[in-house]
Amino acid sequence: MNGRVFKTIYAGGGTPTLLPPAFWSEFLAGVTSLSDTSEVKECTIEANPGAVTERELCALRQAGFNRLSIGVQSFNDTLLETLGRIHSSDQAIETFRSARKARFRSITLDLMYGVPGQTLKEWISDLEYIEELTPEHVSCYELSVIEGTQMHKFINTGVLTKPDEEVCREMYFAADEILTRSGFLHYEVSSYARGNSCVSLHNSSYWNRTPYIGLGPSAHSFDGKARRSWNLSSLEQYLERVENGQSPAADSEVITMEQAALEMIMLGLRCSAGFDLKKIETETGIRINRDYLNTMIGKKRVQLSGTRLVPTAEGMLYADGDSVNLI
Amino acid sequence: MRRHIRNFCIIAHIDHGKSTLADRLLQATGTVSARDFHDLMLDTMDIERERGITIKSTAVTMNYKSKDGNEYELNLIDTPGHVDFAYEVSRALASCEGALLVIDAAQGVEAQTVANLYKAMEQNLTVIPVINKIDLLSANILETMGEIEGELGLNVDDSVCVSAKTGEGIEELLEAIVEKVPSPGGKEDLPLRARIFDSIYDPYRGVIVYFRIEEGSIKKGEGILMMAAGKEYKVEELGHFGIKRQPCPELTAGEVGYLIAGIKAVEDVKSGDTVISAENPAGKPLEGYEEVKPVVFSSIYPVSSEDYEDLSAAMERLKLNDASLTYEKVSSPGLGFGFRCGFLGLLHLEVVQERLEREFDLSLVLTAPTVKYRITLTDGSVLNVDNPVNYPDPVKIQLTEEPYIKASIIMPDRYIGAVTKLILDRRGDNYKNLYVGKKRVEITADLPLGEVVYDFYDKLKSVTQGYGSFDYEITDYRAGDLVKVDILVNHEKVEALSMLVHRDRARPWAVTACKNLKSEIHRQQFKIPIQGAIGGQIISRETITALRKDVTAKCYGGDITRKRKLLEKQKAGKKRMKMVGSVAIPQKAFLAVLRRED
Repeated sequence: MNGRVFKTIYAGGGTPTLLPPAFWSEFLAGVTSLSDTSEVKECTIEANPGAVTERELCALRQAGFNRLSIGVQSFNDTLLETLGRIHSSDQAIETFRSARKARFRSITLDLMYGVPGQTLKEWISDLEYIEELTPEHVSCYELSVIEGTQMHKFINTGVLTKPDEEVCREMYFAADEILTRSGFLHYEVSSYARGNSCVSLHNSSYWNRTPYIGLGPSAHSFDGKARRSWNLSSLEQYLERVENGQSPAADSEVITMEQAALEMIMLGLRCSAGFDLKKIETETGIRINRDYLNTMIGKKRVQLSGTRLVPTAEGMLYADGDSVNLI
Repeated sequence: MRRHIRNFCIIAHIDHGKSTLADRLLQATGTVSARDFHDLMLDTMDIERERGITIKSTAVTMNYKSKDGNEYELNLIDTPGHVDFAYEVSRALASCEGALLVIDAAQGVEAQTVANLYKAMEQNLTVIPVINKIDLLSANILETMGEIEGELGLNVDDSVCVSAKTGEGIEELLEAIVEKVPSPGGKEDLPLRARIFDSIYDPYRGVIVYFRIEEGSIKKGEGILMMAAGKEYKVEELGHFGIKRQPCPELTAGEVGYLIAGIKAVEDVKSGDTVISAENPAGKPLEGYEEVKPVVFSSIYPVSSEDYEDLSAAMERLKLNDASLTYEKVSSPGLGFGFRCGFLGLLHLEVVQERLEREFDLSLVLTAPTVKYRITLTDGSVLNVDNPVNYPDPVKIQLTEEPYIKASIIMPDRYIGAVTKLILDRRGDNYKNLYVGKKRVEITADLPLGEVVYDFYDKLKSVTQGYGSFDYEITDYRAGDLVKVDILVNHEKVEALSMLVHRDRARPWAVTACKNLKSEIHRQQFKIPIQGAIGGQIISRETITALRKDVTAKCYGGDITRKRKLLEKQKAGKKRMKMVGSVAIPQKAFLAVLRRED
């Protein structure tokens, strides 16, 4: 951390608001004393609806956070229950209003589609409610069911049914259509910003391969070139290392040019900015498969403007599979 | 001074404890130190250890000081138990004078026990019945002794009771070997004649030849001649089989050993060929081995056509160590260059595939295994078809005949119902059952070989909870109403998946095949119909729906590494798929077609 220049800070992955605002105040002060934070434009913290009061939000704002990410998930209480969330839609709206009062410059809401029991109509009504609330930013995630979870078990045994792939596609395009119509930019497969100034600088830095440092167990760091490292996952071991002045990194990898190319393409195809074909080829020495590229253009998944490849909303849906085929 | 030699092998039904008994003998004779010992010493191949089966026979020399005060050289040849490798057993027996016939005291005499005994008797071997696993609570020594006399017609007084697990009875067994197995005989003063029974390829030393000397002797530095190949070599090294090779200056009549002579041409060494002296050549070769007749046929293609040359070299080397494998070059419009191979059974096929993939690092596609059909055309000519590709136009066929076997299945009588059903499901005929023990029954039946090659043995094991044993011999050809079922993937016929099937079975077979393929072929960005067809008529259909999206929702911090690794894995997986038209078919799918639901 020493002497580094940071441009964004993000407190998330877990429930950071479980710690009192005073902690965060101290934390940010600590970061500032160790490194250069004079250029930090975006400083985000995640909060769950109903879990923070207006007073705490004010305190967090005071501590230095200027952006709040609220894990709304849904405005439908039945679906919230399916998702195992303990908050209600009223609490979500309440938290949003409190955040506004606390004068967060930018508020982002996380929404989820493809939830068992969710209809396209219900999803559309969530999106329409967004138009009413007018947050600066929205993330629309399709529910991914992870093996080993209760949800996975329920779906496998038929207790719950996830909307099928075709419905999920419709939900994705509904978000694209409705949010774009109400002035949002669909700038990444799951991300929508009310104008260029509301694009998440922090998230974008993951996608343009800007260096970052991750603090806390399991957090990943990247040097912006080829080295990626990750911290120990056990909290006890993590603390022990840090308290003894040792690095908490569990392991690291130095990626090859081909791996770097795969990352650039995979990330580029998710973002409306796309990627520069020539630049990737020059930097990594990897040749992109032109035949496959032409197929993608034919299927209207990407457009070529100069040497820059820009995905369409349809194209973003195939970012993973297509990135493998392009190399 | 002439050495005291005993050459013997261990034969048994599968799972009766051959390899464990071999372990115990190695330990008891001090051939392997306690420090170097590990279980199943002689099963050196990964596949053998993983599956718990012996595939290759292995030779090892043990030194034993008998109670009679003499030092003996005991040459043990461990042999496979599975019915597919019966051929390997026959060759091993030809190098021995005695055989330990191992019988599990809890299981009693089984089909392969009988079959192996007959083979040993054909070779005039002295058979010592060994009642194994006497430490088990379920061991029934008296009943087993009764079976040895009653079913096998052997003298119980010759039998030895052991527990290969605990080591009980091993000393007695060693004494019995010394006492009962005849010394090899064979005249040392005659010109050299040695029979090759196996060989392996070593990248540094060339072919290593395993042989038994019938007459004469062989010395380091001498010139030798491979009779069939007509090639001359100079012996660089020869020796005994320990756990590692043990070089020695000379081997004489009756001894089993190996030789290294800088042989780089794999085709010069053939199992069954006679090695003679170049300086003092014997006139006539020894009797060779019976030509093996493959019963299951399949084509092997490299997944990537650039690997054809590597596959070709690998086949040559594997053949050296597996004389029962037969092959010839083929080419297919869809699959490129490959080899049409003959196997002794399906396990043999799987073993060959695994050895090629592991030992030679190849990625392969195997076509649906089939038997050899005899087809009489309307013009009277007769065709032998072992590849569905060569199946003639049905209108020109007068008669199709398929090979039949006589199957013998021995099991506890409580499984009669399940086994009978299995036999009838596989078009069995001429069914008979006979009690061979108190509660043990032998079922014999005539079955089409084509119904047995795929998974009959596995199914039998499963319906009898492992207690059913199986042996068979091919008997004759009988008329059968067969049709060729083709599989079309994305409207393209996949030659490798075509099968000849009995007409009544064609539809259910095609339905299952399409279903299995659907579960093995990954979804792609377009819709893929999978169809089963007889000629132009579609008899089954499944559809793999198009992948309508292929992206995960979140990708922050650590997700990037995880996702990249996942994509790399997918990319690597693609290299193991065969492109048929625009569809990537995973290697596994080619055999998945054959899985049955019964």
